[in-house]
Amino acid sequence: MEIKITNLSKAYRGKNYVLKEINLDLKTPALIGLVGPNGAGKTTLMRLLVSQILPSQGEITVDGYNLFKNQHYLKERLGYLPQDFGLYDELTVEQFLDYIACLKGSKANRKKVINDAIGRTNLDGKRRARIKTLSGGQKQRVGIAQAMLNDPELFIVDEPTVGLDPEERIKFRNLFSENASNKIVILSTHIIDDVESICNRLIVMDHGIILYDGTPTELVQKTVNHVAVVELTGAEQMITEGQYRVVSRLVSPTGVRYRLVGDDLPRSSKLITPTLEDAYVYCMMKGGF
Amino acid sequence: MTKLNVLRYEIRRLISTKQYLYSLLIISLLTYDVLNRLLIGGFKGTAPFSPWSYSEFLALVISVFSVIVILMWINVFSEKEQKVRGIIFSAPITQSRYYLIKGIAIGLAASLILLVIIILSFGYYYLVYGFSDYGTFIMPMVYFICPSFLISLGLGLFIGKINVKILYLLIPLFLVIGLFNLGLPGLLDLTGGSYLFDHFNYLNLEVIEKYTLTKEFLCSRMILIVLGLCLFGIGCRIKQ
Amino acid sequence: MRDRVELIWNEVKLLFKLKMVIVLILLTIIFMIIGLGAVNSSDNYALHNMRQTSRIIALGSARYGALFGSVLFGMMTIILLNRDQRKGSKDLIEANLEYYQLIIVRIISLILLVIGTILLGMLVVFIVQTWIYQTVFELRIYLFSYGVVFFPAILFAILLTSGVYLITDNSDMSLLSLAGLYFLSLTSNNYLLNWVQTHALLYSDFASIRPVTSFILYNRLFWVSISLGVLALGLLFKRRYQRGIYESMLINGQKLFIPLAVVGLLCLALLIYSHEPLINSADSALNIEEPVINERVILTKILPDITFYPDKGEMKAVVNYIFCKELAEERIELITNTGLQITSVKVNGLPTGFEYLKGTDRIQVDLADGEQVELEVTYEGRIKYPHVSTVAGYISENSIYLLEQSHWIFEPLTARDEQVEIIGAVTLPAELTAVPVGEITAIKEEAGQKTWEYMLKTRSLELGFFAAEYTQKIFNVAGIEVQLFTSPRHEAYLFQKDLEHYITGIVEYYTQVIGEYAFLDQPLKIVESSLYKTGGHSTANVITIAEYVFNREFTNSTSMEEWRFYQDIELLAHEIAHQWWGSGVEVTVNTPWSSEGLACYMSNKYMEAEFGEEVSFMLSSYWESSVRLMQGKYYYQHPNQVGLLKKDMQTQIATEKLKTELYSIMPLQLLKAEKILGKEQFLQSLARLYKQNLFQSVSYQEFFAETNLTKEAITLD
Repeated sequence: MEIKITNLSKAYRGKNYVLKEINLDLKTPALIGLVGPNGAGKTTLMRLLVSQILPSQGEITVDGYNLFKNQHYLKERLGYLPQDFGLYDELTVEQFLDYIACLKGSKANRKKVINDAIGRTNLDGKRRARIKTLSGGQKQRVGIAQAMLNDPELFIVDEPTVGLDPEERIKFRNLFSENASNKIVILSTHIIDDVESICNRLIVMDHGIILYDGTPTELVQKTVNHVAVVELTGAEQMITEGQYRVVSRLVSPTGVRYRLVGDDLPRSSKLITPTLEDAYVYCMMKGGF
Repeated sequence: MTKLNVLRYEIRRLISTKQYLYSLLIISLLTYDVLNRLLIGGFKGTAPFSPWSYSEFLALVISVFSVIVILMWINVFSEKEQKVRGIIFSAPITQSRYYLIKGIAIGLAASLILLVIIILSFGYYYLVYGFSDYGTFIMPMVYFICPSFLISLGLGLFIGKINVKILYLLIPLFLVIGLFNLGLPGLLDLTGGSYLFDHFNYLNLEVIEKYTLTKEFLCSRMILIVLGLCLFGIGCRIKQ
Repeated sequence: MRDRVELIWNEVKLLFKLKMVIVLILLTIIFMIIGLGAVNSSDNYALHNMRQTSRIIALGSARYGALFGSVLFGMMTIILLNRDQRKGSKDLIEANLEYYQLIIVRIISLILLVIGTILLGMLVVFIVQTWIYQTVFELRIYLFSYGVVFFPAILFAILLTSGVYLITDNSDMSLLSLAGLYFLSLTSNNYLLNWVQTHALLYSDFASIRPVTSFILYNRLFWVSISLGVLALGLLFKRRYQRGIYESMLINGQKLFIPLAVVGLLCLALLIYSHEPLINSADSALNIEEPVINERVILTKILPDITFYPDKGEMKAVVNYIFCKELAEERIELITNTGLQITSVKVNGLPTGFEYLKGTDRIQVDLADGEQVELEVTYEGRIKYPHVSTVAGYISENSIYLLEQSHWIFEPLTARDEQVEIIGAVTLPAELTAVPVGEITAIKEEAGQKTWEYMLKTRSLELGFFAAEYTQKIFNVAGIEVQLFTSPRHEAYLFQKDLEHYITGIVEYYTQVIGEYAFLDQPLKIVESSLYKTGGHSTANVITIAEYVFNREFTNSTSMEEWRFYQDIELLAHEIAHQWWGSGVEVTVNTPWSSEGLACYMSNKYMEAEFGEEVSFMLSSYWESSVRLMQGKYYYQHPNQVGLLKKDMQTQIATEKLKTELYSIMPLQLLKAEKILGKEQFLQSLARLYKQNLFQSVSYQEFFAETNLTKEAITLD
């Protein structure tokens, strides 16, 4: 599958642009991490990709077909989990998945598809439980399970690991990774760790534009020599943000240890190897690379 | 076939709720109350089981029935349901087809309520009067159920697509029009109640015996039926 | 306290941010305006085109506002109460404020919104009434209508839906319950259940609102306790800590005042319902069977001494009855009004016991030995109605209206002397003009009270009484003094219609065709009455005409105006005809034979003489259609099925049938008799019948004997 996004913009009420001239080319196989602060335009981009909203300008093609004229083509190959979604509380997990499978028009053995999704999302014990009796994390798993039905070629998940415990989070990100070999997986998240662990492509967005599009490693590379630590005793002056940004602040018995990112770091600081999180902060600070 | 399963789920979701059971309870009580309290004396002197009385019975009950249909639509457009749409519309189903399924499900679930009303009324007539010539009720059913039912079904979808809050306004509309004689003309007389009230003031015996309705009224019912279907059709196609 | 006020104020401000609230206010106001014209779309056609004043149109506005507003605000309540659940902000809110408090705050803010809507609506209605209807805006009437009819209806809707919502925890179920209660209100004949619109269609311009106030207030009292009870029940069942209904009830019940309020309020509602004080369901008027008369006892004289307290709506009576009989002790029955409590019963000056006949309004009294016995009954209280729409009598601040059917003077069920002598006195505030039956013999004034003494000889025992702030006009027709009593509010308008001319014409016609007026020594009193009792009435030498008769207005002159005028004149002629048939000659009822048939026939003949055959034919064609309609009625054709019905419906069907027989079949039979004998000869026969039976009664047989006709001959085809 190949998705081409050309000069894509989205504005509300004609003037408030939440996406500005986005150009992207997505090809199978890919596991893409989409990161950015709140309001960066990630969810809008995803909703455009699943054709739930129309663009103000630009075009999206899927395998050469215009998306908005061939929605069916995309949706037959799509698994989508929105950020804020609802479920039919009065149905059981199995019934709900069957309902969605019917909507998707699963031609294959529906029962098998559902069982598979239930198994992969670890919902075996809850298959006959009404959704309203599930915990927040379990509901999140049902959401992921419905997106996995039919083994879609395009798998778009918006903040999928919210509400999951750390163990489950690791399990799910591995699940996304395992499935990425023959599909496009777009994972929107705030959790840099998730991206770092599984994504082979990273897109950083802010204010409706793409600040970075490349591999996570490349982004980290761009941050070398821009990350340092400095340890101050209590008597010394507090570090205030200026040409650099404080990524973390760790209080120890001897003082406070600061982790800084920036172009002009204090002389007393000591350069260290950057992490993807440092790189993300640096990218945001610079307004893109 | 798979869409039929969706329909089955939609119907199950509608009828397995406590509000559906409550609707059945309220409408059953109402059916008994209207027959036993308001129409036992017969509508305007006709037999309690005359087509006229049955028309009045339906005109009264249908107003609350229409409210039930509107409530079903309100639920379709509720915030809770809208949240599920994010998932549903990622499936390869068009909005039109999805709402068509919803509409059919509401239509069938509501028809079940209608069936209860009709069975209860038939039972009442048989037990109290030994009356079982139910064929005479077919025309009243066509004239007094179909237009209100279809208009509530069509209007519910059409308005719900535009703005669910306006949908709430249909509740007082159906109740006031159905239960209070505002002397409304043709098309606004959604339940036919005003017509029955006014019509009888000019009736003579022959008309009463024959169950003849005026052409204007029949026309208005026909228009309401067509309008209901059109609104439903347009409602299905409106993009949200 | 200040925090709470601020909380409510914030909630109100929040409400105004909702577009739906603005729509709701606008719609309610639109219905308030539409309601101003409700008179002309009411089910009672007689009231259409009535001259409109604040008193006439205010209630329509309030009722329409209530009809629409109650559902709208009921819905708004549910939307508001489940907002947090819908929006997912419930936990957030509950973390900051106790949910009870929030519910109360929301209910109060909604009530404030209702008050605001009503005040704004009143302003708009004021403008519309002043500019479009061009009538004076009577603030007092509007305050009452909006304050007692409109506002409570919406308040109840809010409280009831809140309560049901808290009980069911489901907005659909709450809305359906509201729809069910709404249905009940709009279709019930029981005024206590009309919580939305209340029973009264419109207020009288003549008697104002007092005659119906008690019903409306009592209804409101009942629903205050019901709706608060349901709200308290809701607070008891309000789901807590995500528990079910039962466990939540146990938790909520720990706050003792909640279960106490539930039990207290719902018991109070039950008490109010079961001890309804204004309606007498056992009234004789509802009894289809004829009462048994003790023919061995003859009533010769009644001496009623009545004092009215119009401000309290009460009366006090000391009534003496003189009976003749054989020596032996006799037991007689009297029809009472159950609203009037008997304080003492004396026979020949000695206190004696009495007994109510179970399920009736009749008492039994034993008359002592002796040929002449004096019975004194003392009683006091308020008049009760048999049904809220059957106003047989009321006592109110501006007007007193007591028909004989109200039994404000208890009616003994005995034989009567040829002429029973009535020598009575009524005492009431001096500003009211009393119109008793018979002739006024003296008027005494003392300390702002006037006592009106009167006397009358009657066979029919028709003892009505009327009083109001009347303007009196006196004129003579054919040796009869006609006293016309009208409200100063309608005086100019009524006289503009040349009423005097028509009254003169009617009286002269009857005098000429039937014979001399029977009570030449007494005035013929024509009295305006309120619309609470529609149409007219004739009692002894007094006839009443409801305020809307002749008092009409039309936007442009139409044939409808002419037609209405003919109907009004016919009504007047009908009631005046009763002075000949009913008062002059008592017509012994033998259905369809009664004074009604003769009065209908005579008034039709007058219409023919005054306005021509076409008009009289059109008016009489109504009789034919109503007979055909009755004959087509199911229970008329299947009388054996009537037993299936409840008693009140049986009474209703029997009354409808009786009315058709008396008011339509009989006049048609008289028309047929006229056709057989020829108009002149038939009228001469009636004249002879009148003269021969003056101050006596005339039976159906005597009619046949006089006309040489048979029952079969005049039976309709």
